[in-house]
Amino acid sequence: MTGIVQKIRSLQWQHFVFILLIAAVAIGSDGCKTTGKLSKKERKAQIEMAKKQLSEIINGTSTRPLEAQERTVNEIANKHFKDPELDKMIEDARQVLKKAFAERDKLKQEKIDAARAELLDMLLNKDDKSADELESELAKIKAMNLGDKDINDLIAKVEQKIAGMRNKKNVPLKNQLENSFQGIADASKSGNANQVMSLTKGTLQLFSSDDATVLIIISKEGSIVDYDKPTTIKRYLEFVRDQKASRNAVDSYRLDSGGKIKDLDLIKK
Amino acid sequence: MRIFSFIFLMLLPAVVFCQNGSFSSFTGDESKFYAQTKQVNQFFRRFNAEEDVKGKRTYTGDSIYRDLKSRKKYLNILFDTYSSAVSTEDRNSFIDQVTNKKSPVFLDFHGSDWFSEVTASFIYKHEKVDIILYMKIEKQNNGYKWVFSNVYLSRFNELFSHVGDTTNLKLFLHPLSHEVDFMNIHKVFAEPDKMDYYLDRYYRPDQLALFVSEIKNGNLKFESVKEVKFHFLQIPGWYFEVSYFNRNSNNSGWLISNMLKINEKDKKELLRNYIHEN
Amino acid sequence: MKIRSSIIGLICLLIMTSGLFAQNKDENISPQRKQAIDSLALEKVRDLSKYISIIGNKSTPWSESQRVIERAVELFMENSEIGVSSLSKPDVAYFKVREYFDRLMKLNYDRVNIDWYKIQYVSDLERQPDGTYVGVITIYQRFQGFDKEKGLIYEDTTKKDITVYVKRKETQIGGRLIGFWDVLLGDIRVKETSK
Repeated sequence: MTGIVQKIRSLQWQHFVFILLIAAVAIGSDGCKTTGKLSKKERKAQIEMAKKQLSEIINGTSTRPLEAQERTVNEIANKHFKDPELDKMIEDARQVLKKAFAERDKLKQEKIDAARAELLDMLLNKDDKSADELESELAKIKAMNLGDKDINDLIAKVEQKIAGMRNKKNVPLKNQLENSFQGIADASKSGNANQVMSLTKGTLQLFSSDDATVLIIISKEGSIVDYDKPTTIKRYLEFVRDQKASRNAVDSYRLDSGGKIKDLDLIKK
Repeated sequence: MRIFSFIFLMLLPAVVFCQNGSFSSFTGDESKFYAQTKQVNQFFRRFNAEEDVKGKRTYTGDSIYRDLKSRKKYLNILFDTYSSAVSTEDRNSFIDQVTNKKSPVFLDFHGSDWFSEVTASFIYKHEKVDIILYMKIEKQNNGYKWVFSNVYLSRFNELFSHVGDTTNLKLFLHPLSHEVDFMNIHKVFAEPDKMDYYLDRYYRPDQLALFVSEIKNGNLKFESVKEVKFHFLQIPGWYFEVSYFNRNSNNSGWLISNMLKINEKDKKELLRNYIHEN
Repeated sequence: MKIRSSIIGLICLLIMTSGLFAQNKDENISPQRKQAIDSLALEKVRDLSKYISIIGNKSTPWSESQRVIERAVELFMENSEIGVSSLSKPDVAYFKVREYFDRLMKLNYDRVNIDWYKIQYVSDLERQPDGTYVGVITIYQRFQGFDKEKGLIYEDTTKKDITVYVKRKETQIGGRLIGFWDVLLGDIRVKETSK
């Protein structure tokens, strides 16, 4: 018993008052609904309040979301003040909101259409954008929160594509080059001239120019490195094509400021 | 040069096949090319056992480098087995000598006492002739080159056919010619084809000089190389000849085609004749 | 007595010269490096073999053959020749390299087959007086010429002894000093092998 008393005593008086206040509000509001009786003065004040809220909606000056505005209109209507002016305003507000909703839907549809087109473009990547560029564009679309199933599906696909590009890019340049060399040799062996051409073109794009130096290491012994006669990437690719074999692995390369290979060291496999 | 008599004998085919076994994975055709002594360089390397069975060079420190067992095997396949020019007895005695455990003998590409005999065709005064060119390796500036050491053309030889002749009793300049300021010397030149009667009996005609002169005068024009052979005098007590055998056989390529025991005096004479080495 | 002393002299000379060269010969090039250079030379010969196959192939377009001939010629030292002899014509006929390739391209067969045996022999590299090294690589080739109606009408197997020149050179590339081996092919002796 004394424990409880002590506990009550230990409660600060402000807390006590606060709790009482909440209880009073709860009882009071309950009381309004149940009785439905309002003083004339109170009714007038409430109507004025409702009119003010509605006029904001009608004039389009409310900054609240359309859904919240609609809820307010419905709440006012549910109170059945039976005030002709207020009723007219309720009707007007409903019209305004209906229009606004339609407007908003139209805008959203336009955004969805635009986003869809954009996402489809990204999937095709006709402009040969990098994974990073695609990702920043995708982030903008995601930020619109269009909440459309189609769009979400497309977003997922683009994300997949970016991941794929990233994986490819993560394949070190060394492997990319070696794969290209082998690809050219294989395509040449099987007589696929078109593939040889496209692989050659693609590989040359990795270099600062067709004349980028290619050195081939034939032996490494301590600090002594022996090379074959220097050649250029264009000639080397032609050589791989003619010989139908890729006999060298990538040893090292140096990039220019644009990230392209300016000279390449190969080493006998 | 004295030629010794040779005993006819075909070499054992087994000698060749013991090498063949290493390449059993290849077709018969290819094994033939493996067995073939493809270059003179390979003749040297096989003779000295300085390459493996696949023809890859070995170096000091490699277990099979100059290995005696390999040498015996190789030396046996370096003889032309289709001819009887070299007797089994000579061959065995030669192989025993060069593979002697205490003092083995090796061939040295850069050494002296070996030379090449090149038969080449030329046009000499509008007529096709064969000239034998004797070539040897010479060192220059830490590198090497082949140089002409002598040539042989029978026509040149004929020019000197009377050198050393002691039977002619007419064609000479009498011993007191000097007292008349050799005024009788004109008779030497009156009969040009007999001029060689008047030369020092020990004079050795220098065919190379004639050759250079005829080339420079435009009388001699090169056509093509017909045949190449090599003569080796690097092994003490022996002379042997290496020739190329182009035949569909394991016993093909550069092989010993002739061999004889020779004393050092004859060897010196031979070298003097062919490559002017003293 | 005189002979004996001269023989001793000769032997001394022989030992001296071979000893001297043994030092020069190695010239700081280890067997491993020598092998790498041999392989490089061999590779040039292999490259040539491929070019010969492309040039000889009847389905290679003319313009492509021309390009490949150009590449093949680039493998050679200027003025190199190809000396050819056959069993029926033992006299050696000499051709300039380009002439040889042109003839190969224009051979009058409907189809040709060029096969290379899986064997090659690489000689030691010897130093010339000018410091360039020279070697000879031997390879074997089978050639078959076909006629549309008569089928196989010509076949031979030739031994090709190919001169290879190897010279060490230096160049600056991107601020780096590069030591490379310039390998050029030289005269080739083509000999038909016995059937």
